[in-house]
Amino acid sequence: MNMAESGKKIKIHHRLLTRLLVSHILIVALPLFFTGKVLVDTAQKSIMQTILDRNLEFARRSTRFVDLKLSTATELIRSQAQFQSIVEMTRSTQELAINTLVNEFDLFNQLTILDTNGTVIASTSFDNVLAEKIGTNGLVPVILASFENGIGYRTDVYVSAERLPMLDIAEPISLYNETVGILYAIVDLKAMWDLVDENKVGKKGESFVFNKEGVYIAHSDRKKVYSNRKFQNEEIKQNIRRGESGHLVYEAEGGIEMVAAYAPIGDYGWGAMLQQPTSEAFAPARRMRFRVLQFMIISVLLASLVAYFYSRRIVKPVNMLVSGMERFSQGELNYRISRVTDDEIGALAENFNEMAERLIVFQNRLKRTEVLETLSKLASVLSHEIRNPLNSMVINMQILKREISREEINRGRVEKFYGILASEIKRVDQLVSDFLLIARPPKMKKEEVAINEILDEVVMMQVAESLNKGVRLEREYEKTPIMMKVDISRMRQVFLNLTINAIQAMPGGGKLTISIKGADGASGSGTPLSGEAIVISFADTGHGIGEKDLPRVFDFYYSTKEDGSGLGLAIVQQIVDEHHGKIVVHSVPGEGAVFTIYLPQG
Amino acid sequence: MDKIVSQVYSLQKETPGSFLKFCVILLVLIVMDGQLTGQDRASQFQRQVIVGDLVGRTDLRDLRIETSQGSFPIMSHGNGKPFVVFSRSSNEVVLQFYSLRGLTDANPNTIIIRLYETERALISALILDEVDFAVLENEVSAIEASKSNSHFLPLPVQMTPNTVKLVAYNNRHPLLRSSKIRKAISYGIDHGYIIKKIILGGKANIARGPFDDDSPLYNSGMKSYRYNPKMALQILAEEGWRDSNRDGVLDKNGEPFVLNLYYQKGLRIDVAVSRIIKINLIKLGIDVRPKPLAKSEMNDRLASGAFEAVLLDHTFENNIESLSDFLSEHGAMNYTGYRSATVENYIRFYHEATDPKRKKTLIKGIQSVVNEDQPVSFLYFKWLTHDLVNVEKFQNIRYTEGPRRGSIRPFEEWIFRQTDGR
Repeated sequence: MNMAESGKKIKIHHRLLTRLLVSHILIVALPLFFTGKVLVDTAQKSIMQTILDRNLEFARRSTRFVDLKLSTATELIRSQAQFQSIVEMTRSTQELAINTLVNEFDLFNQLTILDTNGTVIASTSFDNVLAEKIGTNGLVPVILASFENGIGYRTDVYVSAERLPMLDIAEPISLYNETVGILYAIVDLKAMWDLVDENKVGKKGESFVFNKEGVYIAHSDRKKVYSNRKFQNEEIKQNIRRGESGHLVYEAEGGIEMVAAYAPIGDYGWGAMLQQPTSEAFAPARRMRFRVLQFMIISVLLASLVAYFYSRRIVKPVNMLVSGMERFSQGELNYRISRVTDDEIGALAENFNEMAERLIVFQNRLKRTEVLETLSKLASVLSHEIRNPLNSMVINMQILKREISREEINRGRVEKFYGILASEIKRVDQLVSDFLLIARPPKMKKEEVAINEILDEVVMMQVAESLNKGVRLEREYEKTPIMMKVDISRMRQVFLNLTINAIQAMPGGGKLTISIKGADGASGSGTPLSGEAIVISFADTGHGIGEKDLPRVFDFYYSTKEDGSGLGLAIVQQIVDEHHGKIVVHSVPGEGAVFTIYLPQG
Repeated sequence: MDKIVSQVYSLQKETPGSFLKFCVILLVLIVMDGQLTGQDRASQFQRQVIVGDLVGRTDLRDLRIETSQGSFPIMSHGNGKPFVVFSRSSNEVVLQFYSLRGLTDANPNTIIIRLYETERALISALILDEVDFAVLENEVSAIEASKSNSHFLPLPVQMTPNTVKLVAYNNRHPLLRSSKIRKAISYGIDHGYIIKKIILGGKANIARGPFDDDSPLYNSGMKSYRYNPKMALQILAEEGWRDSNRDGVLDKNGEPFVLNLYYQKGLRIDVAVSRIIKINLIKLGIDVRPKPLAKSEMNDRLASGAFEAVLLDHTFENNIESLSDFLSEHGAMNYTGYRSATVENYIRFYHEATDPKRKKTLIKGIQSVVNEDQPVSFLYFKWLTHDLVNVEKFQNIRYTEGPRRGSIRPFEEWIFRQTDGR
């Protein structure tokens, strides 16, 4: 029998299994979750910082590379221009020199040597259109002016007819500290495109270089360069212009959150930047977080599983123990708990089984003692109750024999002794009947009857006796007769015994009040039965029952009366029990006693 | 319709004397216009393939287009062409297909051929999705374009066998009439460096003659003109060329050795090759002046002989006719004006001969003569070109079976991935 079956329903959160399970899971899960969270947060921060640092390093590397490329270009041009013999070279040699430079360095789209009047002396431009344009567009004075200021000439980035970012630089060709010509270079910034490709991070990452205005010079997405698009983030552009590098997370075009690193390129006002959607950049951190979470969940699930089985293993023998005890308490005295564990619970089960064994032994002993006691009491009663009438009968029979043996029989005396004999026989017969009524009660024959009718019969039977004893009988019935199914003759016996007892308890007269009423059995109604009941009480004003006698008044052969058999109240209780009722007695010595019968209705 | 008529009218004006043809085209267009209404017509004009090419590589006048009904010259007015020239300018021609069997709404019906000045400009157009198809000779350019625009898939295409890059000399020009001078120039050009520097990865063979070394007609006995500037200088000196005024340029009889080298405008390879030739020959004292030309200008110059040297691609077929065409004084493509009695004899002997071995020997003999005379400097046989196709937009681009397996299908057989096209 389990808990539910036993009728004692325990709430799920009060159950031992639940408590053990919850405690086990909490013991495992909480530290795991806390440790995991700390680990994940630390690792995530570390990964993010690493990514940001790496991107910044890449951006700085880009700037160094671009700077180096541009410096190289400038240096090459400068060294070529300052190479004294270039002035003295023949045109073909000059062409050889500058064509070799263009051939060797992709950076140079075109090189042109001009004199200070803007006349093209040599050019790598095969169509000469561009070279001639430089010589005639009024640029030469501007270039020469910049030379006088001690700085080389450099244009901003512009987009060529081929939609490529270009930059022009010029260096003075000097002879004896006098500028005699210009070496003009068109630098193809496409040379740095490979760099941005190399620096591109991840699949969705972007690497690019932009000028002061934000125009893309190089971009891993070439379309942005070819379509002359601009980088829009003003904050970064300003930082670049201030010569600052750094990293940040910002919202780029299209609302994509980007993790970006940027660095300025030399003194050009250009910026090199690397950016990657945070969704991609921090994917390793997210993956790690997800994996740790997975690990934690799996661990908790496994721990829960283990905790469940382990708790069940603990709880199962406890449940068996509880169930066994319940069955034992409900009378299955031969039920034994099997020992399923070798721990304390197993030992407890074993002890329980031993206790049960010993209890049965004690019970048997008790039964035997009770039987012996009953036999002894029976013998005593019989010896007392039967021997007395028998002695009387023997004496009276001897007297009767003597009377009959006389010649002149005194009929009156014979009849008298005969009457005594008959009375004693009747007394013995009544004793045996009462005894049988207890020892072997007849089968119940319940019938629907109005209880007050049975009481009325009893009262009628005892009216004479009560009058004789000066006892007044009062009846307090409810207006409507109360019907119920009872064994009429036996219930009459109950009422008769209680009425006789009450009359006998008032030898100097008094009052016996017999009442009948219904009760609903609700809390506070005073009935010990659940459900509706009929309450019948016999309240006398006799001498009452002593305190020490009160618990034993329903015991067999217990009587405080000198001529009492000690069976009357025992019979009453037995019959009431057979009707699934209860009888209780209240008494105040010297004031009387109240016997109350509760009979279940229905 | 008015626009169509005006276009055709302008065409008619440009080609006086073909009024009858104009009427036929007009009739076709009227019929077409009757069949197409409203949105249909709009969608018809949207189903276009834009082909990018270079002015230096393509002369629209002699451009032919492959269709499923055969190859047709664009500009001629022959009958049976499945298309009309809808519009034309110096750098763009629009072709409208009208009578191709099996042409559906999923196929292009308009081909726009757009010419760009430079390869870089063409690459820019590819990257910005302004062009659907282009052929790039430079592998680096092809990779760059496809890397920058994922819509494009570079399809390496094997060059037609014996397609050789050469410097064709005007053999009639006083400067280049002597085979010694031509030999000196051949010695002065660093073929190996060109391949190494220009054709990245060296995906080309040095050329000794018109046939590549895997051709059955290849003459392995030909002299190799390996880069040898000393030899070149020696020959030039023997021919009387000296730098008498020490200006770095050779001169003879007061005339400097200036060589104008024409090349196809905008081709990165040709620009680079021209520059290397210039650098190589400046070192000898030859003042090479590379000059870019549109294909049409180049054709004009070749036809008129108004050139000194030209950087060309030429394909020799494995037969005597191809050789004869280029080398014989009667050849239709003998731009160089090369004349050799021996070559003429060999060609004649070839036609008279029946023995295949002898024929082969005669062809090899011609190669030996050409190798000795150097009417042209053979530079290299390039292995691959690169077709770039917008595979995001089109499918059914190449033949997948049959003898033409792997080659590009006619444009009108391509299928739009999205039926509404561009």
